[in-house]
Amino acid sequence: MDNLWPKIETSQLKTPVAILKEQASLLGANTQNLVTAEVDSLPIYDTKIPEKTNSLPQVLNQMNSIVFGTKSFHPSAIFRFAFHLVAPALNHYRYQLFFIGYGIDFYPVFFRLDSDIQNELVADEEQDVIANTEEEFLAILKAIFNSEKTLRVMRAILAQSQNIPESI
Amino acid sequence: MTFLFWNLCKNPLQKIIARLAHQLKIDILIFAESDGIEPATILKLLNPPGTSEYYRAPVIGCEKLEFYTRFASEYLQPVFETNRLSIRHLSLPGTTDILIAATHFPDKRSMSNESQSLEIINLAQNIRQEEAKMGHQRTLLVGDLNMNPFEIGMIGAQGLHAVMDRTVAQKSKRIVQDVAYSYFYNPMWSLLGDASVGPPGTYYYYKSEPVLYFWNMFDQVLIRSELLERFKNESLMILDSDGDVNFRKANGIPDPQISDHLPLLFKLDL
Repeated sequence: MDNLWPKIETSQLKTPVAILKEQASLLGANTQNLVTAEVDSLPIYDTKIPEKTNSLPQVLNQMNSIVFGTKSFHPSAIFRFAFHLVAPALNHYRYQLFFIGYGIDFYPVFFRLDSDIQNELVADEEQDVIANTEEEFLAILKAIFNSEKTLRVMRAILAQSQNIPESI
Repeated sequence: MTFLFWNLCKNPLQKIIARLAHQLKIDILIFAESDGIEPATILKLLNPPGTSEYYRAPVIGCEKLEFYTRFASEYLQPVFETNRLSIRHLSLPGTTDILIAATHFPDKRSMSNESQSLEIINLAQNIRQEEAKMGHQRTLLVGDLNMNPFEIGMIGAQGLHAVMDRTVAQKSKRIVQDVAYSYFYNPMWSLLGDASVGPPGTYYYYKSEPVLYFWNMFDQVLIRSELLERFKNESLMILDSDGDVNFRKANGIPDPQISDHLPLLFKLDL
């Protein structure tokens, strides 16, 4: 029998979550592992799809609202991840910095930020933070990681962990 | 264990707080909008010369809430935070360990009722995750929820699932569409309105519009089934005075010179 499937070439693009995980893995080196980071895959939602829904976009919109709250994500943003700072020395205390969501094309990536970071980075509190390319995604990540709020949380973790490296 | 929660409206209420703490022997003080008080100032009043009863629990990420304890703060460790939610593990020697979740939830100026009801699902999910990690549901949630007990976010199974009846809450969980959701018991229902003991609510709001509750019960404490037998409704009070200062004006509404919110006092037998 003929194989009717096309040859499938894997994308050379890194997925946004791969980039996130890579960045998460790099933090420990800057903090003597007193602050690390974790990326969690978010469940779509722990309930069934409501029976009386009409279309997939409607369902996804509803789920996006549920998972991300008031920030509406584009219905295509079916992959969702949360980024946490972690304090291994403090019983693995976790601080949730932001969520991302994206679709099968990887971009755009939709961000939902800690509101303090949102206020720091974006003049309009209601403005969506979206990365349309990998370059934009990296630039937004850099801005989040270098925001005053992120640094405050990291400093607090380091102080609580009773060992403050000079580099932070 | 005696708890006090108060949205301080950014006012310098340190003298009132110290009086309440000493008179009522409060073990854990939790504040929202405490920007009007320097921690050192309140600690000085909480700890008169020669004493060192009270400690400030370290702040890591959630800067919208402050915790002070009448025991070394190492026994109240944060385990998970967002900028509006702090979940802490209380593990005092000789007592039953519990999770204390505190929140200052977004208000109705920044979110519609519908948005609040969706947003609270994230908060409820965070609590469930930490309970799963901890391996128990001895949890209380306290704070300025900026919603009334009867709103969808408070009632809905995917939200806080906070019911008005202890008997229902004791059933622990309910299955909706094949998914089990744990209850919170919401004792604030019993304090709604002017025939209840104490003020009719914790927050008063007037605007010339058709639907208006006047009094709202935005400040609430919710208790999981596993903690219910340790909580007595009589221990829960909305305070409107510290004995010297009335927190309400002559017309009965909260005095904004003190705070637009009234404080909650409650006890758990741990």
